[in-house]
Amino acid sequence: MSDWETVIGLEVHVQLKTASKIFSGAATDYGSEPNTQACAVDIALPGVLPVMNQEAARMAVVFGLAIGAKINQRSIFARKNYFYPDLPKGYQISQYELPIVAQGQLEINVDGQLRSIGITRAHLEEDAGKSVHEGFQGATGIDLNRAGTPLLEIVSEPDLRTSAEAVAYLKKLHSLVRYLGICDGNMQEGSFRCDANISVKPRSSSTLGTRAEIKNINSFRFVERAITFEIERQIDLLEEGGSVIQETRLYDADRDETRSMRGKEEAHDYRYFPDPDLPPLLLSDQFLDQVAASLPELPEARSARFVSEYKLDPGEATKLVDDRAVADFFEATVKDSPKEAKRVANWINGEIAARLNRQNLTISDSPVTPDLLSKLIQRIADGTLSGNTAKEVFSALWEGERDVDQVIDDKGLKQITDSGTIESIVDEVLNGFVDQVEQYKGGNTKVFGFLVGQVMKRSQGKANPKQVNELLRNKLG
Amino acid sequence: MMTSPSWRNHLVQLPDSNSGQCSIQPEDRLWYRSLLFILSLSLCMSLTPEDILKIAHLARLEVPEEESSDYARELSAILDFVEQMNEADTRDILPLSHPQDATLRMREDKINESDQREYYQSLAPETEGGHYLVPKVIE
Amino acid sequence: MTISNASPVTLSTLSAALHNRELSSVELTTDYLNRIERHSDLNAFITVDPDSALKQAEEADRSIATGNPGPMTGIPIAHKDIFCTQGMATTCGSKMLEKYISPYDATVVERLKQAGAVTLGKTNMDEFAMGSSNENSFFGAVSNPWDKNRVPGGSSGGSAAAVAAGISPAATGTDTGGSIRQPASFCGLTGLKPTYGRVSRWGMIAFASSLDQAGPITRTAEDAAIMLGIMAGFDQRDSTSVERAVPDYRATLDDSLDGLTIGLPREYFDQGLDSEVGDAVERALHQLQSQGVRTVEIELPNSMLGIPCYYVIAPAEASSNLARFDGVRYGYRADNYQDLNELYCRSRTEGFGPEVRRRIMIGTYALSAGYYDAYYLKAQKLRRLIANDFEQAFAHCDLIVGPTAPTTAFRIGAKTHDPVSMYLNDIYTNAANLAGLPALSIPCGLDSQNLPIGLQLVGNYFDESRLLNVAHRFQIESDHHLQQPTKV
Repeated sequence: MSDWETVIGLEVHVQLKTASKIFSGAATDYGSEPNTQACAVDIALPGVLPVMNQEAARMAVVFGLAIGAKINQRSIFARKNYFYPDLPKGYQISQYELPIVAQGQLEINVDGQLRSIGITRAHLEEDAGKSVHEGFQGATGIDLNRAGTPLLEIVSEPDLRTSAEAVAYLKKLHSLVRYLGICDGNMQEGSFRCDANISVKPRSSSTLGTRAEIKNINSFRFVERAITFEIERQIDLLEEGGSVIQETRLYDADRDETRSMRGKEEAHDYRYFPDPDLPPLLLSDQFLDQVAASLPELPEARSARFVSEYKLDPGEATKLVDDRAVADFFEATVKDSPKEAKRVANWINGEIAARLNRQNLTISDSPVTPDLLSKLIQRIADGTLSGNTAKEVFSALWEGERDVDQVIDDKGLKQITDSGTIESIVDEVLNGFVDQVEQYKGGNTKVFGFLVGQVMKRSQGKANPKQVNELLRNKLG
Repeated sequence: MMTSPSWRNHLVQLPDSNSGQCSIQPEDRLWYRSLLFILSLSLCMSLTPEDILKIAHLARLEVPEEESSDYARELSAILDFVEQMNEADTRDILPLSHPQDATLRMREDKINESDQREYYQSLAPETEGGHYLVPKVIE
Repeated sequence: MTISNASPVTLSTLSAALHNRELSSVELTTDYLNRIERHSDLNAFITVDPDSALKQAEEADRSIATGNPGPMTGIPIAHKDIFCTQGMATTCGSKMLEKYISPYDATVVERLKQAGAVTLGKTNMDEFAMGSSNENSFFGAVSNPWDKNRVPGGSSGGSAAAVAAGISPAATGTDTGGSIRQPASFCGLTGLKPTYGRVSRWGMIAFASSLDQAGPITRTAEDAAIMLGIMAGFDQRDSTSVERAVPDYRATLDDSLDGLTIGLPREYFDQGLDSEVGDAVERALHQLQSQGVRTVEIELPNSMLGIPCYYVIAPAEASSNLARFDGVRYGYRADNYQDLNELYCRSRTEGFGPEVRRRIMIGTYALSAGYYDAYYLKAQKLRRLIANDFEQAFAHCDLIVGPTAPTTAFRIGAKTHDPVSMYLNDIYTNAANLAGLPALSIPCGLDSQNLPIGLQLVGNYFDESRLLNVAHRFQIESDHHLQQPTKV
């Protein structure tokens, strides 16, 4: 295998979450009754004309700036001509020679290794409708609700070398577009679609091999599987003396293999030409400045700041910035108690994340607000609560309690810090577990933990663990 | 008062219901004509029946094979005619796609269309369950 | 006041009569509906809707009675069948849309409706606006009222024939390479193609998007000014519509022509020009000179290459614009097909006529891989040269004048055997479309066979006021525009 080198390029279609379509005023909501969101322009009635949605342009620029790309202040819409029932005009309005976003890059981290992956370009275009093959006798049903939804097609340089890198790139891109608020990233609904171009070549060779395109992979896991399969397929083919055909293939998740697309092998001549209905898009310096000023702190920079300002680990920080709302939640919590940043991060990345996941919620649905979390953590910091009792309070808050101190009082969870009280419990335990004491004195250090546990149990978890430890050690000698 | 401009021959003949036809003289720029001659050699002006079938398919039009030669001849004549364009020196000229070099105006991201499915689909030849129907497509 | 054929009526005289209650819109409309009926042999109309027309007339009469009627209130007009009209078929002269009823009105239709005009019906045209003789219509050829064996010109042949025959006071048309001006020339009428972007293309079925413009076909320049004033203006639904105030075109109609300079392109007046056409144009120029205008010779070196240029760009854009006609969501759908490909091919081949299919093929070829640079790109560059020629010329003159068409109306069938010979009709007209400039054709005489000759005036961008002014002053001092076909 190591005689071969893999070259992977990815094309991602990101559905921009504008309210209306890119060239018409119809809604873009997902899942509506067929053809109820397809207006005259979308169904290409005779005489209709496209009018550009400024939000789509703004979102494209936001993306471009976020990847450090050159923005083409003058870009052109072109017609890509072909016949297909879900393409009502018989052409797709896209961008060809002059896309709105030019060269940029995205940094990925694969097992600690950082790599910068080039992004060749990103351009605006309109989505096609949907073909429904089931449910119509001998026919295909066409739903044009999706026709005209704005897409940003993001094309990577063929810089990726492994399926792991490909997945890392996609995850990073996915996270970024959600972070920027330009895409909801819902892969099941088709908001984030990936095509992969894969070729292999002998390591010694400098010429690229023939590539195959795998279309429309809609999960990270499938991307990995599809690429892995395809690499093997191509290598096997070449090793047997065959050659790779340039073609489009589909990934079959059930069979875990890629398959040639039937009947699509005619070479497409799209006859691109500048769309005469849409003059060139000119973005002023002022517009670019405005968009740049409106950019949120980008994930990388924010993560780095979390590390330097709040002393978080890079891993913790990265996890927090994966979702902008989560990062905001973190900062809102931490603003009153910056010293507890690490603790806050742990709670968010741990307990909160787990519950949100289980209940299929987002951070904005969290019943524990930044204020509540902040309060809770203050009570841990000031010794009122221990790790365990804090968890109990948290549960109560998650269930709807609104006052941290009230809960502590009601449940009598205040940590025991009075050394006298603790000492008497420790004495009780030492007297009650004589065998274990003997074992400890005999050299079995592990039994210490058991004894600590017993003290905690007797105190209903309220004893200050540090003091318990100290006292036990002193008494055991 | 009005002088006659020179014209490349075999090209423009102004037909006229009353007076006779009149052909026009070529422009006298030897170097340019040589260049154009070379250029015209490199451009394949004659369409073959195979070309016709290919173009017809791209345009989703049917040209019965027995008509493809005639079609080829007819279209070749038109293409020969448009070869005149090569008379003009367009090196370093930018294409003009939009008169007055207009630029794109954008609109606010607002929904201003409502559901008119019933109305629009009353125009359609075949629909079912709110979908437009076409013969089954295999992907 | 009686409407007779003895004196051609104009929008302004009709409007005055209506406002003065000399007659009602219902009477007027009824009269025109009858005329249309009597002259159905011209085949100028595809659809006439008497009930709808009379209803609109009634409403117009109410506005006239109660309020502030405008210059078009109650005036019957015809729309070229390329403009979408809600509730009335819009066929574009094609089998493909034979039964198509648009769910919305074109902006041009909306505006004239709002101005109180009464729609008599939809006029015949070359299919999808492709043609210069109105012989390419699925609904049959249109006859020229001046000689029924001859063509009225195209593609707005039906509109021109209707106005020339006196069966509609005015009509709308569209012009992509000369389709308003050339029929106006062949039929002795005033036809105006505005600056590109002046009139909205929303609802105007697209032929060549970067060339198409809507405009009026009328008896006089004043009438054209009235109609243009209503049709023109920014429309946010059309991205190529220009945001620029619409002047009061009537206000400047009577301005003096003293000091105006007319440019005469040497390329237009060569020895290939029909002598009768040339003579009529010369006489017209003399008249204008007597009215204070001076002439200078100018050069438009690339303008004659406008035809090949146009016959690459227009078919290319059309091949793309017509791809939506596939039998799926509206329009003609073939009866027999086995699969999707056959559905497309049969619907399109059966639905489109031969000229349309020819142009789609040419256009597809011109855009195809390997040929784009040589054809389409080359044509777009040549187009800039043509526009530059005009720009340079306008440094030396205020408007450019010449013949509208190389000949007068030719016989039906005379050019249908050879597409290229048909294309040459546009020789003087399509440069204005390529450059996006406004241009107007007015009658300037009759030839020895009593066929109208047209004079074309081309202006600088958005200079319609000047064109209309010169045309109007010319018409005040001449009577060519008052001539009518004798046999009608």
